[in-house]
Amino acid sequence: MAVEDDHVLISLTGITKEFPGVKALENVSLDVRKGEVLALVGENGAGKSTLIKILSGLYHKDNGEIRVRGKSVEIQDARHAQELGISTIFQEPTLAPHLTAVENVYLGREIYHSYFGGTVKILNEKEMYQETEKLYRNFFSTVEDLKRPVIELGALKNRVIEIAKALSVKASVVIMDEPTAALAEHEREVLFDFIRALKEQGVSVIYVSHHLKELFLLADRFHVMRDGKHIATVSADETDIDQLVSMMVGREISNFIAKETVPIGEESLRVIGLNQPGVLKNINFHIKKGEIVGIAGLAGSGRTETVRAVVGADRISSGAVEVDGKPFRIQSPRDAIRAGIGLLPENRKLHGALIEMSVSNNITLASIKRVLSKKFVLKKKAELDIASDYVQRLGIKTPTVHQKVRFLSGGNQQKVILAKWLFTKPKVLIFDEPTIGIDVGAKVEVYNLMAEFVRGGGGILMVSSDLPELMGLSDRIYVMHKGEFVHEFSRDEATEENIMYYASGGHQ
Amino acid sequence: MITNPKITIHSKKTANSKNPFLILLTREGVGVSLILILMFLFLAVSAPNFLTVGNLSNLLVQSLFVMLVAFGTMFVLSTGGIDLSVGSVLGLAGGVTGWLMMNGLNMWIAILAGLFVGALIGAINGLIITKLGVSAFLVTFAMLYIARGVLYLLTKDEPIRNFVTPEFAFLAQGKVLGIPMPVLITLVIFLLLYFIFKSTSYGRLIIAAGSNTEAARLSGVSTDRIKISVYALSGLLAAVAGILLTSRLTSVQPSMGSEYELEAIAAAVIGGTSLFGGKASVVGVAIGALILGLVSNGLDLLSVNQFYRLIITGLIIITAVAIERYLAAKS
Repeated sequence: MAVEDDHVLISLTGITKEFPGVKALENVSLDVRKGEVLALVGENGAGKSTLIKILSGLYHKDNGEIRVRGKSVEIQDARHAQELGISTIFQEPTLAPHLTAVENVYLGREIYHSYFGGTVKILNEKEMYQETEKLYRNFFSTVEDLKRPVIELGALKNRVIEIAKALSVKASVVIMDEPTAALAEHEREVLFDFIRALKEQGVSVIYVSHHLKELFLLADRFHVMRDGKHIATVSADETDIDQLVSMMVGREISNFIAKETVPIGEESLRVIGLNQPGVLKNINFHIKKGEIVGIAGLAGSGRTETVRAVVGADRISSGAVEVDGKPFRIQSPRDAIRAGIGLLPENRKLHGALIEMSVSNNITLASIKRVLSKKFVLKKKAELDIASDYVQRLGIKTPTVHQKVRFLSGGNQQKVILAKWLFTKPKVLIFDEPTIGIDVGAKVEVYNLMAEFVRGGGGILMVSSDLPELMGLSDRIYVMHKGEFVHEFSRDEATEENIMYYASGGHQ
Repeated sequence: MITNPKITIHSKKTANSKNPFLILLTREGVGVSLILILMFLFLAVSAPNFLTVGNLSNLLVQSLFVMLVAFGTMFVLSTGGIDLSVGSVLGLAGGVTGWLMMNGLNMWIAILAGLFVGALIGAINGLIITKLGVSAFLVTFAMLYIARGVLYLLTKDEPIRNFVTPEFAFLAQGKVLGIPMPVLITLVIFLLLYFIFKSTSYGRLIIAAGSNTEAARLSGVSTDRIKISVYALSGLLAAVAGILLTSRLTSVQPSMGSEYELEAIAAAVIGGTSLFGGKASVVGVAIGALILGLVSNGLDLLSVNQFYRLIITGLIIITAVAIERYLAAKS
C-alpha cells in the first residue's frame, strides 16, 4: 500500500473465515485510515457482516492477520475489541429502553463514589452526567435530553446515544451497520453531520450500508466485497453508483430500473374518502390495471397508515373501497383478501412473514382454503407442490420448502411473502418499502416480479422512501404530507426536487 | 425468469441440522420419550410391584385427568396464551354435572351441561382476552377464583354425593374388552386432537397465530376467533376431565381440581410446548403427563414421602426445558 503506516489505524491481511459448508471470507484485506469514512459495500452474503463481527470480537478469524496501530493482535471478544479502540453500532438498537442516555452510555462501566475502603459504593451520577455532557459538547455541539428514558427520544437521538456510548470508551474506529435504517430523511442529514464531526476529530468510521446514494455524501473510500472476497477499494471521487453496482454484482446491471410499458386498463382499485382521526385526512386515489402507482412522503406522513387502512389492518372512521367497480366492506385483512387486495408490509420479519414457520406454510397461509379437502383437512402433498412451484417461478433460494423463513436472506423472504400474496390471486398488490434492506441483485428480481404482475393485468400501489426506485417504477406518484394526499404527479412530471417540495410541505 | 435448479423439494432434511442423532432427538416427542423410557426401566428394576397389570393400569388412569387438561393447556400455550382457570373449571364442571344429577336430571343432560359450562367459561376467557386486550394471565387467574367460588356456592361447603348411577360410574370405572373406559375415552380424544393439530387448517392457523399474531392477522387469519376457540377448547377438555374424575370419585369435593392448572402446564412444558407460542406437540404432552404420573406412582412404590414429588417434578421441568433449549441452540 502506498499509504504511510502511521495513517493506518487497522489493517487486515488475508482474513479467512469458514463456516460449515460456506467460505464466508476468503483472503480479505482491508485498511482503515485515521479520520476517514470507509464504506463497506456488497450484496447480502458478500461477507460484510462476518467481517465486522470479526472486528468487533464476536467471531474469530480462521486465518490472516489483524494489526491495530501497527501491532499484530488476536481479538478475543467484544470487550477486547473495545479496549483496542474498536466499537460497533449494530443495526438493531442495543440501548436499554427505560434507562436515560447517561445511564446507557455508562451501562456496565458505572462510576462510583467509594466509601469505607470500597465496601460501599454509590453511583456517582454527577460525574457520569458531566462526562456525557462533555462528550456531547465535543462531538455534537448540542446537549439535550440526557436525563430522559431513551424510549421517549426517537430513532435519531437513540443513534446518537449509541455513538456517544462508543466514543465514551475512547473508540478510534466506530463501525456502523445501516445506521440510518430507522431514520427519516432530515434526520439522516443530522446524523451525517455528526459523523462528519467524528471525522474531524480523527475518529474513523466503517460504514456498512446498502444505500449507495447516501454513502456518496459521506464516504471517502469504498471497499467492495462479493462472495466473501475483496473485489476493489476505490476512492469516492473516482467512482459512481453504476460502477459500484457492477462490482458488487459482478455483472453490468444495465437499466438498474427498467420501466416496462404495459397497456393500462380499466380501473382496478378506488379508495374514497378514507379518514382516520388524527392520522389520515380524506384520502382519495385509484389504480388502474397494469399501473404501478407510487406514494411518496416523509417518514410519519401517513404512507404506511394509508396502506394499512386500505387492507383493514387498522380501523378507519370513514371511507369506502371499490375493486373493479364493486364496493367492498373491508374491516380486516381477511376482507381485503376476499376483495383481491394484498399488502406486503414494510417490516418483513415482524409483519410480513412468519419467520419461525416453513416456506411452504408461509406461501399457503393467506389462502389456506385452497389446500383443503372436506373444508378443513390439509392436502399436504398439494401444498408442497404449490410451494415448490412458487419457489421455482420466483427463484426463491432455499434448500427446501421445509426451511424456516428465518434462515432466508431478506430478498428471499420478500419473495416468499410475494408468493403468499400471488397465491391469493390478487387484483391489487400493495408494497410498503418493497426493497428495504435487500441487496442489489435481489432488488432487480423483485422489480421484475412486480413488472410481471402488472403485465398480467394486476395493479400495484407502492410506498417507497427510495425516490429513484419510486420514480423509476411508478406510472403516477401521489405525494403525502401530514396525513393528506397533497399532489399527484405523472411519471414525466416527477423529479426528486418537486416531490420533496410537496412532501416537505413547500406548497403551503 | 429466474430458475433455481438445485432445489431438492421434498426432502425433509433442513440444511442447518446435520448430525443424524440430533435430528432424531429434535423429532417430535423423542427427547421426552427417552426420559419416560429411562424412568420406566428404573422403576421396573427397583420397584418390585411396578410391572403388574394392576399397577400399570392404575398409573395410566391416574395420569389421564391431568393429560386431558394438559391437551387444552397445550392448545392455549401454542397460541402464546395461558389458561390458569382450568383447575377450577374442572371442579365446577364436575360439580355442575353432579349437582344436576343429584337434583334428578338425566345423566346425559347433566354431562352436556357440565361440558357446556367448561366451554362457556373458556369462551368468556377468550373473549375478554381478545376483545378487551387484557393479559391472558390476569383474565384466567381471575377466572380461577370466580369458578372456584361458584363451586363453593354450589356445594355449600359440603361435598356433592349420593347422585351416582351405575351408568355414570361406568364412565370412569367400567371396562370394555378389559380396557378401562377413561383410557378409551382419552385415546379417542388424543387421536382426534392429534389429527386436528397436525392435519387441519385449524391446527395450522393456531400455530400461525401463536408464532406471530400480527403477521398472521395481516395474512387474513382471524386470530381473535382462533384464540377464543382455543380457550373454549381448553375449558371443554377441563370439563371432560372434571366429569370423568367425578365419576371416578363418586363425589365432588369443593376443592376438586385445585392445582391441576399447574400440573397441566408442567405436562405441556415437559412435552416440549413453548410458553411463547408457535410450538407444541400433542404426543409430547401425553408423554409429559405420563411422566408426572410415573413420578408419583414410583415414589409410592418405593415408599418415599410424596413431598419429594414436587421437588422431582420441578427438576424434571427444568431438565426438559434445558434439553430443549440446548437442542434448539444446536440446530
